[in-house]
Amino acid sequence: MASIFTVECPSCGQSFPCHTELWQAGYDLLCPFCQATFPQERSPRIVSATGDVVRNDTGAAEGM
Amino acid sequence: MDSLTLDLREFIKAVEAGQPDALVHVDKPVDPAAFEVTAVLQQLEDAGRFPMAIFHQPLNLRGEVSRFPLITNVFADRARCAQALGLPVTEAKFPLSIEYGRREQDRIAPTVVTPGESPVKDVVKVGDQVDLREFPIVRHHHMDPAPYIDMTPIMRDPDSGAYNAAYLRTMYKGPRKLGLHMSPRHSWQITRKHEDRGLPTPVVIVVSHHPAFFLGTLNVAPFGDDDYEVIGSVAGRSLRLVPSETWGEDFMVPADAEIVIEGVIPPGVREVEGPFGEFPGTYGPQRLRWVVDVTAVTHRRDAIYQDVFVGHPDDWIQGGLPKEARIYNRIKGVVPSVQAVHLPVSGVCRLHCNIAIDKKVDGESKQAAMIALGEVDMIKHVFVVDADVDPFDDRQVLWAIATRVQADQAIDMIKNAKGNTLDPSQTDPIMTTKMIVDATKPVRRPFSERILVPDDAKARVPMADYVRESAPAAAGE
Ligand SMILES: [Zn+2]
Repeated sequence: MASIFTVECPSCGQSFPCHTELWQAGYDLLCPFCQATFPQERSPRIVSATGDVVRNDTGAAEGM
Repeated sequence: MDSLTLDLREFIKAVEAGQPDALVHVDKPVDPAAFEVTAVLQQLEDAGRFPMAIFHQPLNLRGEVSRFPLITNVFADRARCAQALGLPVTEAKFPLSIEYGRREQDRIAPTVVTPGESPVKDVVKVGDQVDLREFPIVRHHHMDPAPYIDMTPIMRDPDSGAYNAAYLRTMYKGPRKLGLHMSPRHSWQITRKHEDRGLPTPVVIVVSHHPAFFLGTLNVAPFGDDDYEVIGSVAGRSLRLVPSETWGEDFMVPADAEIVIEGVIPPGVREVEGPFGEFPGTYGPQRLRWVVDVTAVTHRRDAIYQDVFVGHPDDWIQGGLPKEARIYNRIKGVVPSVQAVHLPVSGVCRLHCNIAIDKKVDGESKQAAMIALGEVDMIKHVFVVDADVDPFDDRQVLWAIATRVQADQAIDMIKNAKGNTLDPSQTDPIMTTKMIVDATKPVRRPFSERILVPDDAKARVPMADYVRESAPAAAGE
């Protein structure tokens, strides 16, 4: 299962896994913890399928 | 062929009479959507117990005590699976697998009955009358975004007309709406055929029924074989069918089910679904998946709602036992000395396969292992043991690996084979590395024998006659 990235919810701060088919696919993601829906771009922290960390405040990849 | 009805409550009575320890009751109200059903099951599991559980006052999704009691963990013990197929519990190991494989080869045509003869038509709700919130739908694990119905949707191939049943998860999305997850197998093919023609796909979710029905849905018959006929054969009696509310005789539904949900999968519609705690005991990710618009619900007057504790033995055992005889029969054609095949709970009954052979020639172990890997693509690691090792006993299999394996000689790896997308260890979405561990003794050279206490000595000093349990010391001594 290599094809996942994890997304931090902007509402509750918890992270959950998404399939890469959802990567920048234009769908709102659904937080399983608080039921918030949000576009990927609003997530404060995303870890991509290759392990790169993307922070929304800078938009920069830190690498891992 | 008989057409005795399949009745869940007859099964419950039989378990209660025959193995009272195998059934527990929860009388207090619990909230399935707040993880309280799985919380009870997890505590039982942590205590090493795997009983079938009936919750008599589960809350529905409106927060009221549901009119439907909830039964779960039905399949968490092979003894109950044997009982479901009418076998003695003493035959719950490999004889159960062999019998499943034998029945799966046959077909029993279904019997059509009228709505008046069909318990599932006691209560009929269509269109706006439907409200899924009346059910005690279970939210299983902490990252599941909603309650899920995790039983068996049935679809019908638009070309052959054959019915196909499969366990597929459906996520509660609204009073008349579910999300539906499918992998690219039979149900997916049927849906794709409808979508290619711009048509909605009819789907009927059998939520609760006699366990033989659900074990029958796990058959591995080729695409195009009618699952209603195979289920009948596995259950040992003709399945009674009745026209659906939505499509009449064009889509028949099981007359003796407890609860049935009818709906359509609109073509081309995808929504986010998941994450979901899946069979490996890990979460599958949120995905873009199909939806079901519910058109009707029918149920018995005093219907029981059913659930499977996914990612636990209730899920695993069902997944494994229907495959064991198929693998065994294929191996037997090439390695006649094969004794038994088992997909153990420790390997989630899918990823690990234990094979016992009475090896006559070196090389037979590898031949047997390669057949297993070829027959079931989910199997990742195969352990081949000698006939003196019980493949149903993990401790014995690990003992054989500990004492009969030199890694550089006994282990082979096969890269880039088809795996399972839900295996979290895979670094590729589709491909995996398979492993064969030959834990058998060599045939062509002497090898240390296993230690043995003579049977005749055990017979001379039977434990019941010779062993006195230590009594607690009396007070004051
Ligand atoms: Zn959240």
